[in-house]
Amino acid sequence: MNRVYDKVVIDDLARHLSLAAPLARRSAEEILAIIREGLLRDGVVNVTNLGSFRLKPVAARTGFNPRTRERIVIPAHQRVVFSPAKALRDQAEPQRQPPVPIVPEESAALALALGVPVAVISDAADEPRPPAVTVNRDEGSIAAPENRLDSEPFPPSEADPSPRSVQAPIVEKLPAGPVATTLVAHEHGMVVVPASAHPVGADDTGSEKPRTMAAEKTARSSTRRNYFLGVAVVLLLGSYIAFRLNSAPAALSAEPASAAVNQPASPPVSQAANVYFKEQTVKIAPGDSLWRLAEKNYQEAILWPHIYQANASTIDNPDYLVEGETIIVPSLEGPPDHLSDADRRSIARGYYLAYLFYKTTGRSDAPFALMMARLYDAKVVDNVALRAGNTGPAE
Amino acid sequence: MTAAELIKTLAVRLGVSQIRARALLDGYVVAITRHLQDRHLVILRNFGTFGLKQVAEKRAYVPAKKSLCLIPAHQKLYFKPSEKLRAEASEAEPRE
Repeated sequence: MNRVYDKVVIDDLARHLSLAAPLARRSAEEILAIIREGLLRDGVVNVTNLGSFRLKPVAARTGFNPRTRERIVIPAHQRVVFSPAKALRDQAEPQRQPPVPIVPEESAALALALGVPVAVISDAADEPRPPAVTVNRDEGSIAAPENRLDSEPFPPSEADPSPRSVQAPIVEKLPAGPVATTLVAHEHGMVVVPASAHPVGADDTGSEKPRTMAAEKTARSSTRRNYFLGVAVVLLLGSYIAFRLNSAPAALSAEPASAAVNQPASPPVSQAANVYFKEQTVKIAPGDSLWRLAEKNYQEAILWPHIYQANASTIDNPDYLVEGETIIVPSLEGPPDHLSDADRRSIARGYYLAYLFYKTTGRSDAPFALMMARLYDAKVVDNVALRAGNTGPAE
Repeated sequence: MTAAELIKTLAVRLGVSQIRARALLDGYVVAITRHLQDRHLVILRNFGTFGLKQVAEKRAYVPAKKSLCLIPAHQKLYFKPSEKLRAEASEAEPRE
């Protein structure tokens, strides 16, 4: 880097404006003097196309004298701050590459397919950074370390078709061994290396390496997200299969079910004898849950809402039963694979009551309970609303 | 001090018109800019030094997107005041 002193700048001024040398020198001296005086007097000077000079206050602080090893007090003072104008930055600074978002390795392939420049979080993030560029004042040049990929401190010269572009040295270290990797050179010079075949956290030598906090956080969040997605898919699939299995026999039993609705509340003896499960009273033992009680009595655990809705006045939280309490295990008219309409409505009501409780407690799976309720009875909300309130038990 | 006040003061001191003073100021700024484009250190005696310094790449957090981004290495314009100007600035009375 060459050093340019006042004389060279004054000569350029005189040559460009066809001025006499004394006038150009005096103009330059006056300009700098006015800027200095204005800065000391007003605290701020704005120069068009150059920038602004300001005096910024610095608070008093305690310093340390390394020679005498004594604490010293640095009094409050002011320092000169220069903010270059946009025109000067556009002309003097090389063209900057825009910031690049850092994404996890799983999203890198999608980003590349879309042509979006990204940087990848990898285990190589903990590698030591290349040392900063040092300025050699004696030689007047900037010495760049040899091991840097962008060894040229300044943009390339005329040979480069884009002299204003700066190489962005983001090169991840390729793992050794027969690992299928792809090196992609983006138009902006970003090099993205996809994830290697090694498990997460393992380096080339086989020993595990601690990951950065950012990598761990993204890995945990993606794992958690995948877990919830899997659970949601399994639940939906299971409920759909159960619904399809029960829909055919429900259609066949439509007439007898409608006939049963018109009959009085107490079923006749002939119908009571044909129920799949008779009503029983059960005392809650240690380790009992609605799920286990339904599995034990109905041989189908997913019918637990049938028990919950029958004991809504006793059980508040369907996931928590009090040991020693007595609850009713209601009767089930049909087998679990051939539920009657009345059973389906009661199960739907049980799911709906669970949804209401989950909603009040802020549980994230409350919508699933409502979805299950509607699977058993699409009009469960209206049916429950017609009875005495939404939270009280139905007679 | 605004740019207009600077031009007016320069015109008075040089005994030229304000248009001429503005041309002189613009010419001076252009001369400095051209040397900065050529990656030169512009040293103005008793005033300061204009130059370019290398800034290493770094990670930054974008609160709007709640994600990290990588700022590539780039060069940044800087100004270092001379010792005389620094001493005068530190002795100047602080302004409110």
